[in-house]
Formats: sequence, structure tokens, C-alpha cells
Amino acid sequence: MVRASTAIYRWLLVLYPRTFRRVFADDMAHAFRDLARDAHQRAGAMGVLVVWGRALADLVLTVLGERSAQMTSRTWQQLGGLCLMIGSGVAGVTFIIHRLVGFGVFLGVLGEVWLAVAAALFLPGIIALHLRLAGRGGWWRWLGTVLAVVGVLALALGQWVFALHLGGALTSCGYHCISIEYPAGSLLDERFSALAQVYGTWLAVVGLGVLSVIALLSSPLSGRTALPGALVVGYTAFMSLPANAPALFPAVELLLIWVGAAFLLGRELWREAAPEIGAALPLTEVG
Amino acid sequence: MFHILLVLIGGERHGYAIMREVETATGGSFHLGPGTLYSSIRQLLALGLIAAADERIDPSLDDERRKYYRITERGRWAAHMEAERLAQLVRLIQERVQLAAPSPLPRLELGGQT
Repeated sequence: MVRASTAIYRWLLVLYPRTFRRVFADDMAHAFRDLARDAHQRAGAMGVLVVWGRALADLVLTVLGERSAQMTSRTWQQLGGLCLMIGSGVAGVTFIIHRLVGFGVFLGVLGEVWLAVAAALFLPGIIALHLRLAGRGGWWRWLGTVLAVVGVLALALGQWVFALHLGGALTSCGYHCISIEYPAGSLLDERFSALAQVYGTWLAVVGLGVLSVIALLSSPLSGRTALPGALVVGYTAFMSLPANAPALFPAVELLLIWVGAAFLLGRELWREAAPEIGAALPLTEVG
Repeated sequence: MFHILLVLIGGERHGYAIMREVETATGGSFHLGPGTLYSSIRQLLALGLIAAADERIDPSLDDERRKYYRITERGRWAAHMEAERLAQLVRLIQERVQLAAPSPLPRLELGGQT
């Protein structure tokens, strides 16, 4: 039992940051084994269970502490951006369901769910950006904040389409935080006409100005990946559809951006984890 | 972290020995888990309050080599300062408690006179 417990505990240590693990994982596993062994000698299996209870609580708290201690401003940006993106993605899905169902009890329930989910996901993201987005220009994060506040207000007032347009911009902000490779401008170039159709020219000008700023911020580092190009193709294809759904397109745009961003984020995480996974694989000599 | 410094004032210890001594010193009321211990050790090392000694066997446990830690001069100074701070706090509490202590109740006698 002690040996199995130690093996499981050692496996759980993977939750700690790599730099911490590299220095202390062996010693922590030894300490846990000694604790479990003494407890087993004193009280048998029940003693080991008590050790496990304490060790798990200790593990959760210290993993959070070590992770936050080693988080760089880049990681905070990623976390904040991910919150914003997931919030926007969930809002997009909810909006499509709302358009499909569209009335009765679902309207009220989905509205409440959307508002709650969007607020729950946007707010930590905004807070994270405010806390850790140093060096990226203070006004830029204020822009994201204003968009988020107006978006949540629009949700609260039942201005779904308006909120979704803001959600699109907010997604761009969020993704901008996650990957500086994102060329926001190329995805948003045809937004003006859609905005003008729905809200009139003056609001479209303001919206375009905001989006242009976001595009300008992301443009110097654009073009490093083929995926934004694929997104542009998909977006353009969607825009070539009949103008039957000026309200639906931002929802699809949200999902499109969200899926693409999730792919890129996954790729970044895979690249980060690949050396470790490769090191864990058994090597066999050839020949 | 103060507990760990106090243990290491008594000499070099490895991780599990620190855990046991902290538990003994606090009468079993404080259990130091491996995560808390090594997270604290990381911080103490970074602050220069302790240093890694060497790896050797603890004959009271088994024949496995363990990493030992020792307190530095800076760590002794930090422990001393923390002890001073706590002593001052205790003195302050004692003074306030004495000031706030209720006066003895007046003795009641029959006939309504005290």
C-alpha cells in the first residue's frame, strides 16, 4: 500500500511547474513515502488514508501557489485571453441556440445563462489583463475593459446582436493576448458594411476605428502562420452568402475565431510539452 | 517558514526530519505536508536564509541518501528578528489583557448593603 501510494503521489507531482519539480520532486516523494510508511506502521491502512487526505489538500494549495509564483506576465495574458475567448465562444453558441429556439421559456433561461457565463468568464479575464498586462499599453486593456462592460450591459438590456458584435471585438482582444501571431485586421476588413447595415454609418465608423486599432496592434507580427489565412478564407466565404443573417454572422465569426485560436493555443501548448513527452518515451537503439 | 528555521537552528536536517520535528514541537497541532515544506524550502533558499548541505544517509530511517539543509547566518538573523517581533507581540497582548481584565465583583451582603 505504501509503495502504491508513493507511486501515485509521485505521479501527481506532475501538477507542479517543471522547474520546481526538477529540483524537489524526488525529495517530496521520499518525504511522502516516509510519512505513509510511519502512518502505516502506527495505524495501518487508516493511517495511510489520513496521510492521503492531508497530502491532497497540501498538494492542491501548494500547486496553486507554485503555479501562480512562476506565472509570467505572458502566462497571465494567456489566461486572461483564454477566459475572454471562452466567454465569447460560449456566448456565440448560446446565441445560435437562441436563434434556433428563440422564444418562450428558452429565451429567458438562455439569456440568464448567457449573462452569467459571459460575466463569469469575462470578468476574471479582464482582471487578469489589468493585473498582468504590463508593457502592452495601458489604454489597450482599457479598450478591452470598456468593450466588456458595454457588452455585458448590452446583454443585460437584451441587445443581443450588439453584444455579439462587441463580443467579436472582445474575442479579438482576448486572442490578441493569447497569440501575438493573430492578424486581427485581416479578419475584420469587411466588418464595416455589416455594421453599417445593422446600426448605421456612425456606429460602424466607431466600430471600425476600434477594430482598426486592434488590427494595428497585431499587424507587425502577422503572417507567421497559415491558419489566419484559412480563417480569412472561411470568413470571406461566409460573407459572400446572401445577406440573410446580419445578426447571425458575428456568432459564426466568434466560433470561427474561437476554433482557430483554440487550435493555435493547443499547438503552442503541444510544442511546450513535446520535449518532456519525448523524454518520457523509451528510446530503442537501431541496428 | 519560521518553524523550519527554528528546526534548522538545531542543526542540519533533511525534509522528513524537518516535518517530524515541526509536528513534535507544535504538539501535533501543525502538520507540515511535503508540498508546503518544499515550497517553503524553495522560498527560503531563494532568500538565502537556508542552504543545501549535502546528501547522506540517515541511519535512523533507511540506507537511502537524503538531501540535508542548513541555516545560514542570514537565516539566524531572520529567525532572531522574527522571535523578537513575536515576543513584543506577546508582551503587548499581555498588557492589553491586564488592562481589560474586569475588576472583582463587589461582595453582596444581606439587607441590600455592599
